[in-house]
Amino acid sequence: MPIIAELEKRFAVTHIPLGGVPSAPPGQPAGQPAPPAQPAPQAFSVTEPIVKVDPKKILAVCSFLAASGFDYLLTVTAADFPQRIEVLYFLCSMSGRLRLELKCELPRDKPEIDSVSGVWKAALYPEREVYDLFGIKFKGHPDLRRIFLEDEFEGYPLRKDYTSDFLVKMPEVGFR
Amino acid sequence: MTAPETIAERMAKDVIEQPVRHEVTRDLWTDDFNVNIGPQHPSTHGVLRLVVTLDGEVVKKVQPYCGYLHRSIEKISENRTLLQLVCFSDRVDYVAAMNANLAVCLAGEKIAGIEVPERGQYIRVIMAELNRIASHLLWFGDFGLNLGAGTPFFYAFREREQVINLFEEVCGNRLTYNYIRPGGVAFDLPEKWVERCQSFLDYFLTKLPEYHRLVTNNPIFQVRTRGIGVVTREEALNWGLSGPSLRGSGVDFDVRRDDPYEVYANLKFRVPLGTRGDTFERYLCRMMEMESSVDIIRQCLEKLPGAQGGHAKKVSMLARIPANREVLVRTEAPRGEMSVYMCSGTGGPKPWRVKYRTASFANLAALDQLSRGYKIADLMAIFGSLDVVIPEIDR
Amino acid sequence: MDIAALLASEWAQLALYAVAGFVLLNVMLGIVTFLVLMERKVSGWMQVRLGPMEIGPWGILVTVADAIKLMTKQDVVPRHVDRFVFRLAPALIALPPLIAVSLVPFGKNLIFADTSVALLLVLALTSLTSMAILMAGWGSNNKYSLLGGVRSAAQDLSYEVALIFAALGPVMLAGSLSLQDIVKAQGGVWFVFLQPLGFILFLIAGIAELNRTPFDIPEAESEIVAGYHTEYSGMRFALFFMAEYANMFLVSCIVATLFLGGWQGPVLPGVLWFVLKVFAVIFVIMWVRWTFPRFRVDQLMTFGWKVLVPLGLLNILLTGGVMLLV
Repeated sequence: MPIIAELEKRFAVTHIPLGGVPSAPPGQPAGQPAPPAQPAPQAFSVTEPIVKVDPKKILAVCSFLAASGFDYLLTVTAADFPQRIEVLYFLCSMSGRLRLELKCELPRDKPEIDSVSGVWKAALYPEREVYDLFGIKFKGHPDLRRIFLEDEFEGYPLRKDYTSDFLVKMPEVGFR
Repeated sequence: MTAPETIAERMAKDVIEQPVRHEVTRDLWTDDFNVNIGPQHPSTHGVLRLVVTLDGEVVKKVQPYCGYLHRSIEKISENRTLLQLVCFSDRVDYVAAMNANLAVCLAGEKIAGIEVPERGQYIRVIMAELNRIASHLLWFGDFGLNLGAGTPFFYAFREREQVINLFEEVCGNRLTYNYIRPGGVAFDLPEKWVERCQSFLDYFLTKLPEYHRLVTNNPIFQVRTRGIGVVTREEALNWGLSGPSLRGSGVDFDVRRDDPYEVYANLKFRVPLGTRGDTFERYLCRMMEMESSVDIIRQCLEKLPGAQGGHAKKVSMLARIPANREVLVRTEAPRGEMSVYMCSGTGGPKPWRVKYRTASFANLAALDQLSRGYKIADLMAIFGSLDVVIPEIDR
Repeated sequence: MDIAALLASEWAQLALYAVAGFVLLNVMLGIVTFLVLMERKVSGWMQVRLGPMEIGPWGILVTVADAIKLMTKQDVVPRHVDRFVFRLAPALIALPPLIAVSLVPFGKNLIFADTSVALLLVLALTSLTSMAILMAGWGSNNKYSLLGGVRSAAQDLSYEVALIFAALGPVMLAGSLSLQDIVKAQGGVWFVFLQPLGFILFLIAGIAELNRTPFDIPEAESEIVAGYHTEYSGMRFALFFMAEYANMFLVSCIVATLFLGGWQGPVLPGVLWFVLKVFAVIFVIMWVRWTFPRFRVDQLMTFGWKVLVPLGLLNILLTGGVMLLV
C-alpha cells in the first residue's frame, strides 16, 4: 500500500505486511560469520497490514492518515502481553476499500498515550472502554472515565494479572 | 476500598453540566432540567440509562450510562476454546445470534486456517440472512412502539415467529442458536426444510406491502420521522456509524458486498442507500434490506450444493491456533458492522484476546450529537432508528 | 290517599327522577364495563390475537376481574401531595360524562332531561374534564405528572375550539341547541351527508378531547413521564379509567346525535338504531387508536390550531352560505 511507504518515510514506523515477514532461509554456508540472533517472531495479521507506531507519534500519524483518506475508525482496543500492553487502532478507507491496523506498544507500568478522539469521534467510547478495562490513560480525551464498571471499581479486569475473589479457576478441557 | 460516598457527592461528580439559566426578564428565568430515562424503561430496548438535559421540550444533551448488562464476555473468551466461544457470541447479540456466531467462527477459522466446505458456507449465509429478517422485524415492532403505534409489533412478531420456528427445526433453539460452529454448522438441514423456507419467503413477501401501507405511508409516521436526527455523510463516517445508519446518510458501503466473506461474492443483491440521513431514510433502508435478504436466501437455496459435498469438517474440539497471529474479521450484522478481533499470543487451543466490535456501541456514541436540538419525543424516534440493542453495547 | 295526586306531587316527581337517575347511572356503568372488554377484544383482533380468553367464556368477565382487582388494592396517597386536590380530581373527572349522558336522546321519548340548551351544557361539561386532569397533574406533586397535566390541558383547550366550530354546523341546520330537536330535524336526511367536513372535524376533535391515540401525549408517554394519573392506584385509578370510557361513550353519543341521526331510522325501534350507531362510532375510535402512531406535542398543537380551526370556520361559512342560498 503506497500510504505505508509514505508513513515509513515520515514517521519511521515499522511495517508488518499481511501474512508476516518471510523467515530467514535456513542453513549458513560454512565460513561465514554467524548471523545476528533472530529477533522474537512478530505477530502478524492474516487480514490486514500492521503498522507499528511509536506511541509519542500516534496523534501525528492518525492526523496524517485521516487527511489521506482513512476516514473510518473501526475501533480502538488493547491486548495485554507479559512485557507490554499493545493498543490497536483499526482503520478503514471507505472510498479505497483499504484496511490498516496501527499498533502501539506501551510499557505496563505507565501506560499512557494520546487520544485520537480529536481526529475521529468514533474513538470516544472505545478509548473509554480501554481505559476502563486496561487502565490506559488517553491524554486529551474529553471525558475519560469508566464506562462499564462502577466509578469506584478498583483494578483493570482485562489485564492478565487481574485477580479477584470472584475469579474461579476453570478445569482444563481434556481430550476425549 | 474507598469509603462509600453519599448520593449527593456522587451526583456532584457526574459529568453533567450545571443547569443553564435562560433569562427572560430580570426577575423571570427558566432553567434547564435533567430527566432520567431508564434503566428500566419500555423504550430503551433493554437496560440503558439516559440522562437527558432539557430546555423545555428541546434536548440539550444526552448522556448514556451503559454497563448494566456487562457480562465480561471478552474476558471469559480468553479462557475458552474456539468451539466454546460460539455460545458466548450468541449472547453478545441475542437478537441476531446467527450473525454473531458467524463472525466469531470466521475469526476462529481464519486464524487457525480451518476451511469450511461449500454447503456449510451456503447454509451459514442462509441462516445469517434469515436472522437478519428476524432482527429487522423485531426492530420494526419496537420502532412502532416507540412512536406510539401498538399494532405493527404484533404483525412483525407473527412473521418473526415463523422464522424462529424454522430455526427451531434446524438447531433446537429459538433465540441463542449456537449453530454455526468453526468448520461449518452443527447439524445438517432437516428434511423438507428448504421447502418450508421457500414457502415462508413467498408468504413474507406478501406481508411487506402491508407494513408499508400501515406504517410507512402513514402521514403521522412521516411527520414524526422525516427530517429528524439528520446526520451528514462526513459526520456518519467520523462517528463510525455502520449498517443502515451509515447507508441512510448516503455512504454506499456494505461489508457483504465490498469486503465479502463466505459466499457473498457469488451472490447478487441490492443494497439500499439513503440520501438525507434522517430517521425516515434509516427506517426505509432497513425495510428494504429485508427484501434483499429474501433475494439472497432464494439464491442460496437454489445454489445449495447437495449433501454429498459435506457440511462440516471434523474440527477437533481443541483446534490449535498458531502463535503470533492476529485477525480482524468484518461482517455485516443487522445492526451494522460486527467485527471480531482475535489474537493468539503464544498459541494453543484458546485465543489470547477476543474483541467484539459491535455496531450498537458505535451507534450509541453518536446519539448525543444526533439528538441535540430536537424534542424529547424525537429522541425516542432517533434512538429507535439507530437500532441499538444493549447486549451489544455492554458485552 | 289519592294515588294520582300522590304521583303528581313534587316529592313523587323527585323520587321518580332519583330512581331514573339511578337506573341511568347503572346503565352507564354497565356500558363502561362492556366498553373496556370491547376495547381489549377489538384491539386483540386487530393485532392478530384473540384478546382475553381465560376469564369467563370468551373472556367476557375480564372487566369484572379488573374491577375487583382495582377495588381491593391498597389506597396509597403519597405523602407530599396536595391532599384536597389529589382526592378531588378522580371524582371530578368521572362526573361530567355521567351527567352529560342524561342530556342525550336515546329514543323518541327516551331522554332524561330535554333542555333547550342541551348541546351547550354538554360541551361545557366536557371542559370540566380538562380541569380535573389539571388538578390531577398538580395535586400529584410530581414534576412529570404536572407536565402531563399541563400538556393535556393545552391540548384539550385547543381542540375544544375546533369541536365547537364543528358542532355549530348541525346547530345551524336544525336551528336549535336542543339535542332532541337536532335529532328530529334529521328525519329526512342525516346531517353527515349535509356536513361531511363537519363530521370529520368533530370526530377528530372528539378523539383529541378524549386524549386517545393519536393524541395521547398526556397519558401514554412512553417517552418520559408516566402521565397525570401516575400517582393514583386502586380505586382512584379505576375512576380515571372509567372516566375515559364514559367520555368515549359520551362523545360517540354526541356524534351519533349530531351527525348520524340519533334514534332516527326505519323499522327497528329508535333505541336500537341509536345503540348501533353509537357502537359503530366507538369502533371507529378504537380502530383509529390501534392504527396510528402518536403525534409529537408541537405537531398536535399545530394540527389543532392551524388545520382544524380554520377548517371549522370554513365549514360554518359554507353552511351559512348554502343555507342562505337554498
